[in-house]
Amino acid sequence: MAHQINNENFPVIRCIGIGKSYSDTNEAVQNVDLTVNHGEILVLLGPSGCGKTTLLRLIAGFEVPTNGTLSIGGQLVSMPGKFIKPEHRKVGMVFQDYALFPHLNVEKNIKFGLNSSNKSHESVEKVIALVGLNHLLERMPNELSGGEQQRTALARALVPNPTVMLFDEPLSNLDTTLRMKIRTEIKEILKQAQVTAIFVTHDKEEALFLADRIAVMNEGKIEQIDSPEQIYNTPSTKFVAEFMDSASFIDITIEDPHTLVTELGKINITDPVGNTAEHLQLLLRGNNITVRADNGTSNVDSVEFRGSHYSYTIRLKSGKLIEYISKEKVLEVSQSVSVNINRARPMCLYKNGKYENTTTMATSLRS
Amino acid sequence: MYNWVQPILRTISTMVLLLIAIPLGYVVINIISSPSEFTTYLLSTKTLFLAWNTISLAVAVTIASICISIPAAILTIRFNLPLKKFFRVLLCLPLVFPSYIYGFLFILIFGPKGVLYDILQPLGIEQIPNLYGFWGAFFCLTLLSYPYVFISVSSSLMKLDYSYEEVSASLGKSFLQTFLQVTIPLLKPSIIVGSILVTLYVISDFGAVSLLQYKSFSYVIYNQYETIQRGAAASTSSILILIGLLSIWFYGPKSANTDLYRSNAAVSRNAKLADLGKLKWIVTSIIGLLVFVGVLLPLSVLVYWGYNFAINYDAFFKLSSISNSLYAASLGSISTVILALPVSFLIAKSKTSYSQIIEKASYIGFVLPGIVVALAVVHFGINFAMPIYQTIILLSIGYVILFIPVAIGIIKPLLLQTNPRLEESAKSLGASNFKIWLTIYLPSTMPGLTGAFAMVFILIMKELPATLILAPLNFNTLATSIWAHATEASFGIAAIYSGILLLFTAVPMFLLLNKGIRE
Repeated sequence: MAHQINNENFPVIRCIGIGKSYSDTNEAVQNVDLTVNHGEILVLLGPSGCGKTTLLRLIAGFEVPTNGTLSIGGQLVSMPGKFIKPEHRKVGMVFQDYALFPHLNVEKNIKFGLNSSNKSHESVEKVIALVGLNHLLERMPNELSGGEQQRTALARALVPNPTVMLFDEPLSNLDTTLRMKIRTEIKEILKQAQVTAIFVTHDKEEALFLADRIAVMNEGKIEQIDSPEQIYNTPSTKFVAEFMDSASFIDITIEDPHTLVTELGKINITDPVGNTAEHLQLLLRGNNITVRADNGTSNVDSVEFRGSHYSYTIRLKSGKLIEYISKEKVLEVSQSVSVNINRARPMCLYKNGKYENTTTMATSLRS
Repeated sequence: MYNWVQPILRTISTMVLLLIAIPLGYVVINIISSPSEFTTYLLSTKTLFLAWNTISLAVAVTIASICISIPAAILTIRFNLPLKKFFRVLLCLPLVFPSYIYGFLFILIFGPKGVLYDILQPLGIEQIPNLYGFWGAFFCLTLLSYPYVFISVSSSLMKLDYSYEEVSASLGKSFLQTFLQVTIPLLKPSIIVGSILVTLYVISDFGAVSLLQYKSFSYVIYNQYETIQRGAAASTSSILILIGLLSIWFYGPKSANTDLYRSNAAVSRNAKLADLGKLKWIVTSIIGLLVFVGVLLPLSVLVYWGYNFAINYDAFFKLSSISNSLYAASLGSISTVILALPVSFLIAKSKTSYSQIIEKASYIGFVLPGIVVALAVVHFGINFAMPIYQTIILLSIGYVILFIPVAIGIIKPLLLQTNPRLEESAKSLGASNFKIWLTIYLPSTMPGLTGAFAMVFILIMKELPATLILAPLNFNTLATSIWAHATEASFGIAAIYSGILLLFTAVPMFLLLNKGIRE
């Protein structure tokens, strides 16, 4: 797991060994280590039920952790025997359904978190201008569009000047076009206000767009924390690889440190691998293989049209199914084809299901 | 086919409308026939005194009910109190007592030589506060009617999305600030609905105020009727109806926006239970004391007096009171439901101004106190329907007027919930309108019909003032027998009749209530 702590930025959130279990068998969050730096947007990404929302609620203080310590802005807020309530944590929260107070108008919603000590009205004006709500202050929440509700919730959370902003799937109730627009707005506003934020989502595109770093979660654990590029290009586990995009793994045996044998032929690689008895696999994505229509040993199982491209499912000789992506409709169902690995692209090697290293091909593939 | 279904519905609905109009007609005729006399009566000191008595009692009981119910609901729903589910049930339980039974049990507990006196006397306290009058009526009616607010507030608190309170906490508000600035405003619509019910209950109560000799309108109207002051009784009734309508008007605009709060089950989370620490046991004792005084003590006193009576058998028990009660309640509830059905159909399925008039008119029954309906129906019987005067038919008419709003209130929503696609697909399959009514709407209202029937049956079994005034001579029901014996202070036999009545009404009432709360 690659933690990258940039020394120029100081950590705002630090979780050490945080866990939450509801019973012996139901562990929602298991032993999570996580650091979020000042001004950074961290996205917690994962399928539903992976524990990402529970982790967010642990940070907010809505749930009490079973073990581990948690500090926000340098203050220890949770450790065994000590728990600081949410109202004293200075965290702003934006919920999936916004939870705007239905009995208050936009202005009163936004000013809800003000008290004599925390902020001047000047900065309220600033926040209102930042989210562009000046003309809607008198409206009631039920008179607002989805996007306006979203911005009101954001402004309300920003006004008390929180140390960190937490977002619990705030875009999942919006339609696709609006979702794209709002996520751009949110990113701009957060970057402009230089706010540290944690954003929970199950949508990988949203995560790739918003995040400075992504933490992919599965079954209560963090599988990988990295930049969006690293998460996509060098996924550290099979789970991350498959969650981010369609991915196939084919078995490898080592002939010598520079030659790997696969079902698709022998590969010469630049970075030598040590001789090992471990189970080695190669990650194949739909865009790093090439397929030729000849009388090869593989054949086309099915074709799906996806708008911008076609997705072919190819059945290899061994019976393994892999995906191939092409802009053109070049293949027909049950056509015999031969499959090659695209030599221009780096290849990720996996040892026992874990990322091992990335290598490139030295010479052409010998069939 | 449709062409003859509609006129039948309209005819029956018009009949019902005319029945509902009887009490209003009675009041209007009384005012019109001698307007000067009415204004003099209206502005007399005696009337103003009665109005003050009735309104001050209603306001005091409503405020007290809110003060009991909101903390009780919050504590038993949002805190980890021991036995909280048990308390939630017990806190609703006073609703099963008719006020005349609760009234005499209250006298047996707190009255002269009552349970409280027996407990305090050995301790050297001979003097206990006088029970009769305002304070007695206030405590008795508060303990009896606060569940209306409690049930209304609890059910919306259980549905309330907890994320509002979490947002408030994340914005730095303490538990108390969140409670006052978020929770209470969001519960406001349900507090208002409960308060309307309590206010109307107190304004129209007859049993408890009469037994506790508090001069509110119902008590005085009954005395005027008993002493054959017809004009005075009519005028007093008119003012009582006006007060009822005024209270609806007072609450009206505030209760209009009940759709303020969203309860989206898909996204709302179960609230975490807050911990009270050491305060927990103090709070539990206070709620325990409330349900002990409000429910357990009256029930024990009832059992004790009933047992006492059984061993010193000192009055005649008439079995006929049971059969009379069942007979009147069956006839009344069947007629009410049969008449409510076409009216509900018309209101739910046709959107003409006529159906809207009928809908509004059907609610008037909620505001009409039993005693006023009874007097109006007697007046109607004497003047226009002598052959049915002093018969079970006139009694049933009284019941229909009083309880048809309840039946419509249960049946109408079920018709509105019927998926209109069902009707459309039946039509596309070539079914006639008559067949659609018979095969789609009637079956879809069946659970509502049985529910409405059960509810009206229970309400009639418990009903006192209209039964007292409209029943044929020597037609004693359980309710009138309890009343007769309680007013003569034969509490033993009254307790026996009460026990039987409670068995017939409390158990099904409790089941219906429980079902209603869960839904």
